[in-house]
Amino acid sequence: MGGHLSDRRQTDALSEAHKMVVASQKLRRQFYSSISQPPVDKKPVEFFAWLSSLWRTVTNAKTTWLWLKNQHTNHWEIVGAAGPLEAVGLPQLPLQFPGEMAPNARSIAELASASGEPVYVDDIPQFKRSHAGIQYTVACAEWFQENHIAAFDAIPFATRLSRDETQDNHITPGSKSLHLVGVVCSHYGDPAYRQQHEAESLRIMGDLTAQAIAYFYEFLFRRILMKLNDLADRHLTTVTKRPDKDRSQYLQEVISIIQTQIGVEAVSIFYRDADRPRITCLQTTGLCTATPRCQRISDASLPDVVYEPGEGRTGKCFLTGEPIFLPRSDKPSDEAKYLELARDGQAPLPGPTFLAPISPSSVRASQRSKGSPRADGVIRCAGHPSLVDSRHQRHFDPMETQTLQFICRQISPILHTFAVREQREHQISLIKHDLFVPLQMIASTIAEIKRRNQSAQPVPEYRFLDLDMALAAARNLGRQLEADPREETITPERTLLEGDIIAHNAAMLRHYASRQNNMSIYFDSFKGIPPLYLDQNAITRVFYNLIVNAIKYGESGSEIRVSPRTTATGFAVDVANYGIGVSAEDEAHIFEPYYRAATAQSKSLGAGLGLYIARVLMEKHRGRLDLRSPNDPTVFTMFFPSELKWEWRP
Amino acid sequence: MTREKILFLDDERAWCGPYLENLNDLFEVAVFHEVQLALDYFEHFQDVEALIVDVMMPPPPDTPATETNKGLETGIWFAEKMRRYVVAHRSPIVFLTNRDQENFADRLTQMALPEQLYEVRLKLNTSPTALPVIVKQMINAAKRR
Repeated sequence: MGGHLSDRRQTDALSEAHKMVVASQKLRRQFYSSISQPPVDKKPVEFFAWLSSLWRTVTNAKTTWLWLKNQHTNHWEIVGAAGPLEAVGLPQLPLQFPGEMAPNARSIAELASASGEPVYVDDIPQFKRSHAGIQYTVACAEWFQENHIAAFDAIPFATRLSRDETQDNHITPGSKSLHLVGVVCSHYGDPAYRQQHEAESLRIMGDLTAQAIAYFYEFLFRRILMKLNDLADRHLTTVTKRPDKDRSQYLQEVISIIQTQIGVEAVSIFYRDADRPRITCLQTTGLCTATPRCQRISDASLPDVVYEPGEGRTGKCFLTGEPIFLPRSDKPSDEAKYLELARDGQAPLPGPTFLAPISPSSVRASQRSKGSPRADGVIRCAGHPSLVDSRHQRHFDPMETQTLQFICRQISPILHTFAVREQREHQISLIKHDLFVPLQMIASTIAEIKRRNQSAQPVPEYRFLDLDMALAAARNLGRQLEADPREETITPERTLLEGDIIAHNAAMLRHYASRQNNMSIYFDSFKGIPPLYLDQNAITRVFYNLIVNAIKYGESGSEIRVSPRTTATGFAVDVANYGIGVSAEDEAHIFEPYYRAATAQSKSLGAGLGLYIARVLMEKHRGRLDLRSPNDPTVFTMFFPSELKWEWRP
Repeated sequence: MTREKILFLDDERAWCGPYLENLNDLFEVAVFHEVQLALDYFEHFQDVEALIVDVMMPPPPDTPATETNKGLETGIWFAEKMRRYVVAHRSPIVFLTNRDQENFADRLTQMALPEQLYEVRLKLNTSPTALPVIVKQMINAAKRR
């Protein structure tokens, strides 16, 4: 009988065990089927919450935590949690930064991840004794005891992330091998729940988790890409007269993508200026001055928020084109000129801050001259609240910094297009204005000629010079509208500089000089200069541009002197004036397209193309245009090589 | 009869000759080719009955680029500085420009000048002979209110 009873008991126990095995197998099957179709349309925060909750269901744990190792800081950080969170009590733990574990060889996450094996603890008092001295672990152990947690474990997982994204050459130096390293920690009220899982299946579940995360990020990147493409489509295809406003709306939406996908509070986007090597803030969630006291920057004064190359961290990121990861500090970085404001707009955010360069495409990057900034702009992020306690900031993990850099790469060509459009729009404004000026002069002169004609009065000579002056200005502008001067074809013909070029323009230019700035022009004799084979239109333009500059930037009442000379290798024509001159810092740049020296900007409006076009046209003649003397007098020299004496074809 | 005094501000000296010749027939014209000099003038004298101001002009040195939109709206910036004067003296302001009004319409609206006190004239559509008449009419309208 007894044997029978004991047999029955045994059978009961067996069937109980069998039931549990079946149940746990069923749960695992549920895990496998769920994790093979992860919800890839979620935000990262939601996805990690889903993962934790899936683990919790399968393991029957009281609470489950998902930790990822931050390769920037080497700390473990919580990315997701499931279970009665208020009961987890981590905010009450005596830690400076909740949800974060400092690297420690004896921490359970570190142990599991180093060995690649699940770690299981069911003797909490013993665990507490063996980990005495590790504040976090001891505090947890005490809390486990108080909350009737009998056992806990840590399942490690690791994988390489997103092949395509990590293979290109835009990775941060710190993340060359971007490994995703994490652990799933579960806390059990009843150790029996844990015991039904074999280490092997937990390991497999860990692997599947890692794969699901990698899969999720691949989709996240694809989703971001689609969103950004859609944005570009909407904002670039409608061409309006205000590219700056279009860009502003576009960036507003980019910022909101960054905010949702990276869970960041404050974002500022800086981009290069059209005419100066420096960056200006284009769009921000809110900025304030760092010193002397936090003063909010209004939207209208954003264009005055400027960083020179190398200035502060932002300027450094712009100059080097390398991302900068600023660890968290209690006080805002004192090196910054401007700081990101918290959402309430009251106080600056204390970091951590991540600065990602907006790098030019590889084609444009290769055109950069040495020493010029490597990036086109910088995206700056701050305010990254901890999942556990939103009053605290957590670090940006490598996935987040990768995501931001990915966004930077995607928006780079769009911002470049906007910049080109804006510059064109500015240029068109200037050209339109400058074209209407001579047109209006022509119109009013014709009206006057008609009037005088009707009353049989003679038309004064200067009226005709006005017409010449207007025609020359209009013609020059018309040519500025043409495409790249480097692509123009030139047709050399036998030319006497004095007879074919100067004589045709001297009277008009003298008239212009005297009208515009009360200046005079003196031409030295061109006797020693032989006929040269030149494109007369092109050289007239060079000459016109140089004289007009000499007038615009000359001192009122002074004289411009044009003097030819023979050199060892050819012939030179100097155009000299007294005026604002060229400063040492501008000297290196004045022949660059669109460059405008600060002193020139307050003298005259212009697109900054005159000298560039003039130099290109001289080079097309195998000659040169140089600044021979920057000041007192300022001398520009056109140089024609001797070989131009003979007929040639370009 | 003493002629009314008006202010004329345009950076393009070479091109404003015909306008000035015609204006001089009717008014005493204080001519400025630099914005700063015109501002300096107002520091000492408040005697003009009307202002004729170009819009696109080089900004005075050290003016933040945003305030004048890199020189594209220097004339509007100048008018903002002159607003009190224009309203207090009922001296109308003519923006004589080649720039399209739509580019700075928002800014003009913000300035909220009374309707009779300003007008935007495209240079291309404003002949030098017509300008003095337009200015005279505006002065009269502003005085009548």
